Amino acid sequence: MNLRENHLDIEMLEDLLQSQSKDVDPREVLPREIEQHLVECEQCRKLIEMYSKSKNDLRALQMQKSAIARVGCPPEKLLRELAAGVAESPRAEELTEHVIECDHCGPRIREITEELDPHISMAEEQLIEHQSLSDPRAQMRLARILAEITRSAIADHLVVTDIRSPLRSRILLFSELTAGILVCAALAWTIFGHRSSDPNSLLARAYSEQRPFDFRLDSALYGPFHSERGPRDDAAKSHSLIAAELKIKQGLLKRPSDPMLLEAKGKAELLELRPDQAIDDLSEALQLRPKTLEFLLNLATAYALRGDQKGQTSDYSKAHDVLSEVLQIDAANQVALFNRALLDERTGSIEIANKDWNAYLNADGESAWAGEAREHLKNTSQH
Amino acid sequence: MEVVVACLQGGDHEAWAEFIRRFNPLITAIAARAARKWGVTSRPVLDELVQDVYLKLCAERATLLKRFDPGCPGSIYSYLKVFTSNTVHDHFRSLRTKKRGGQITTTLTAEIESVVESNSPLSSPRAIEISILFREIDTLLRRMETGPTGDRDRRIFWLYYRVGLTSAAISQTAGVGLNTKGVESTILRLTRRVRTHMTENAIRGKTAIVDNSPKKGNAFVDPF
Repeated sequence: MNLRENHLDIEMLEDLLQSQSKDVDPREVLPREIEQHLVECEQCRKLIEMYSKSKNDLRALQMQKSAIARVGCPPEKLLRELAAGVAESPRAEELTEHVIECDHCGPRIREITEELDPHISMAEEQLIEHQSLSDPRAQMRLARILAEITRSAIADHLVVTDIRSPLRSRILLFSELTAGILVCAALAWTIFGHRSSDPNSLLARAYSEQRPFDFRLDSALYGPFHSERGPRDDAAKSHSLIAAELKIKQGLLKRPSDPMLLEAKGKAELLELRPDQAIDDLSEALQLRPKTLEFLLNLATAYALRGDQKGQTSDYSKAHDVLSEVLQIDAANQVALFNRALLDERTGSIEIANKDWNAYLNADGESAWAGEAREHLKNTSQH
Repeated sequence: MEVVVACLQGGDHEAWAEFIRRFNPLITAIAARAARKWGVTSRPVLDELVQDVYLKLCAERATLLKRFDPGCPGSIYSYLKVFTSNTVHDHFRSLRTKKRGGQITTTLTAEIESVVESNSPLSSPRAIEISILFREIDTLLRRMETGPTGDRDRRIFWLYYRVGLTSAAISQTAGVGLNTKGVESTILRLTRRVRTHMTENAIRGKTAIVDNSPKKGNAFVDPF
């Protein structure tokens, strides 16, 4: 191009810029020949000036602080999905169109992309290094709990049970969306919102709803006995038991050596008819808090159930010894008297059983348990 | 990614241990950032939040399995990031609702908004100028970019200039389908065309003139 005859045009300017660094003012990178032309030509000077200005105009378009959300603004979760690349088409395109127009969502998604940036800073690396889960033993402990939860299909069961409920089923007819919300709400409630009910109350309720063995469980109300053998099917579990198990697992993640939680775990194992695991957990709880009556009562039940499952009389003996230890501390303990009388029956010690039933009825003459005790006494007296 | 599928389908503790080893740094970093937005930096609280994420992951694994594409290994990282962030924000939002007796259900954004400047930027002359320029350029882009990728390219341009995302962040955004280089090249191409148009119009005296005097706010580094 002959600059004496022609003016600089934008294409030429572009070519020049392309051959130079991108982030510079055109005036700084022009060849001497053009520089000389610019001294003489006002039109070309204006061109360069305007071209430089266009860059600043584009910069000025960026939204700054987040304005107040509008009625049509999407929920933050959708913005996160968009930013992370997991929003599905055509929703993603619709969201993007909204974001580039919206003074609220535009700046918000900028913040969200910073939050979801996969790059981990030095400070974050230090934080990770010092968190409790950096310890491989803690990782393994958590891994075992997670494996246990997924294996027992607790969450799946919850969802299924909720959908099965007649009231929920009717609501479900309205739309799948409603179903999703209900199920999620039920799940969230059970896992995270149930914190006001302690695991022991839930376990007591689970026992009374579906009493799986004839032995009494400490602090649980009466419930009719449903005879079962071996570990229970997940589908047959009561909501209370599932909720209690989740709560116990969650608690143990935070306090793995809490004797109360270990005892609750043992009790849940009893309700699941898994006496071996119950014995392990209850023994550990007793090591941490020796001679606790509730722990001893449950340990005795665990031995008795293992005796039932495996036909081991040695387990009945162990259970008997533990209950006798409880009665030495608290001679009128109703649960211990009731359960020991049952053990006496199992081992064929009918006279002793009668004695224990009578002792029980002296302590408790009116409850539903007393009715069951009278039935047993009547049967053993006939022998 | 087999370990992810194995865990979500009910894997044993070995699979979960591998999952934790691999993803815990990402989960912790995202949880820490989300907690910081709520003013929480306590390490014990962060530990609890991370554990909550794992428990919730177990509980919602069926949903995750449906959405996660094993053929696209990177997608699990994206899902985990969103899942972690949602869990932490939900936790704090729920805590705040409880503290307020469940009566108020404003969002985090609303809370953030309460502390930012309340004067609406939409009514100032400068905002009107910017709005006009935005409309002009958008119309131009819609006219120029009519090919099959026209809309996508226009959105990329605006995610860069209007929203202020980096090329890398744009490439991660749903619906873009380009890597960082592809995004950069799209922005460069459109920027040249738009600047050319703006320059020509300015010379002809048509363009909306924006006051470009230095402003306070986000630093904007424009390589284009």
